[in-house]
Amino acid sequence: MTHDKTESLIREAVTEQAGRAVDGSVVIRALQRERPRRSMALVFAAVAVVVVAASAVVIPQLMRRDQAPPAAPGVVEERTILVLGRDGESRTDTIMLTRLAGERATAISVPRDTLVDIPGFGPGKVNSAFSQGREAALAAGASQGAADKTGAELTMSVVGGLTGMEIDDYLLIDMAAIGRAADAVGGVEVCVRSDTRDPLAQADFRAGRSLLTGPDALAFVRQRRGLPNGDLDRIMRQQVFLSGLIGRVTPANAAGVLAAVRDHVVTDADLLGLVESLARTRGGVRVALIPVDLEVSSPQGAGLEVSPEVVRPFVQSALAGEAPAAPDCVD
Amino acid sequence: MPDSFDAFVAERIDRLLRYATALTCDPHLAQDVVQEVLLRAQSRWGRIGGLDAPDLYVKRMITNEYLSWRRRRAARDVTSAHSTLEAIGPSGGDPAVRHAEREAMRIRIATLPRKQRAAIVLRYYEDSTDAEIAEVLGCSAGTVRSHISRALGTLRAAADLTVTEVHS
Repeated sequence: MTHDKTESLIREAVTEQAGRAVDGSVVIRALQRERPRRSMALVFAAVAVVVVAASAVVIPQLMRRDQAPPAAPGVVEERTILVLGRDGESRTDTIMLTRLAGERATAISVPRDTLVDIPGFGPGKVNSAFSQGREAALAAGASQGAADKTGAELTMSVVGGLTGMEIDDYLLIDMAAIGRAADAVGGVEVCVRSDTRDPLAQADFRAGRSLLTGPDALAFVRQRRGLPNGDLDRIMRQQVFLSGLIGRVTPANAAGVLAAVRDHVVTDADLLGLVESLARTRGGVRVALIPVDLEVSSPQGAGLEVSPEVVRPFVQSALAGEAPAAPDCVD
Repeated sequence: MPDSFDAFVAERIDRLLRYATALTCDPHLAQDVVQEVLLRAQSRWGRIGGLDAPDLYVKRMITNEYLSWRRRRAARDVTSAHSTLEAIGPSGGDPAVRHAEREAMRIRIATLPRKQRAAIVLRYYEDSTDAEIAEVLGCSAGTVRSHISRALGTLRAAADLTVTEVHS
């Protein structure tokens, strides 16, 4: 068989496949039905990137379509995304409820040890929602990709319930991609207050400012030991890093950022649209940590108690603009 | 602006669906992808509609949506590949052989890795240049050539095999 014949066969086969498309009128009717539902497309690509960096979580679909106002020119695009940072197969220690609204980006962290009720699984730490949902799906014969989605959606439902937010999309980022994201924007500047070390995270930072790239960026958002407040300090670092990263995403490097993280992200959002939206944010990321009570011991180990009655109004006001900008220097 | 979006959809919907169907090898998945993308495009049509080539942008959204769906959900059965291949009988005249070869090729294309398949569809269905394909896939033209060359290698080998089967 000659080259030309193969190519003409390919051409015919592809055309034949295309000819099986459904009729356009079916889609037009469906669009008309859904019209009022969904509004913006996501600003959050940046978040994704950030997340990568920070390993945060996104909350995708809670916001749901019937609530979104119809888009019109001049309307500010808003999107709520659960960013989940994944280390290894199923550890999602970074969980961030992020919201993009025009030029403003807000990231609210949920500590991994937060005690919640996981639908179908009972009480547990918030970071176990992903692994439990994922493992149950795998046990039921789901593919890795489908299991990741199940775990992320279960986490969305838990975080949505806790915060009272409708989450549009989730963004599951492999922490390993953080370094690539940092490289894609030419490095992310951070400032640490004092020298710290964590051999396990391969972290060794000197007091002062530095431009983080590659493995150092990853170590910065992973370090938990050697910090005064452990995981809570790590959360602060993730927020600072995220803010720095998003601040460096521009229309010019957005494509590079997307290329760097694309294969390390699982999301139901439009990643390209997200990155573009991130490039539109200004003034860094506003950050907050949900109000948690003291650590208590529970059957699932030491965890942080929370009460939705306190968390919900807090999240509302944080998203309304009360969350402060990410701090300049961190521990 | 909504009027401009409606006009865009009315004019392009069939073409977009055909492209997405060639890409996904699944008319229903294609429908889902196109619907999803158009809903998103609608919400920021003020910006997309003002671009030089909104259709290219939407095509890129569709491609990305497909590439990411493929990552997170198990591929649906494209078609009953084996039964179709087995149905390719001894040659019974040129049209029948040609039809069988084309059907076999359609199935082989459906089993290519996703980026290779996207590159093939863009090249042979959309008649895009390497540079245009690179733009849509977000990679370099060199990577595009490598995707296409590998896909062609696979398809050519498969086609040779099919011909052997058909004529033996």
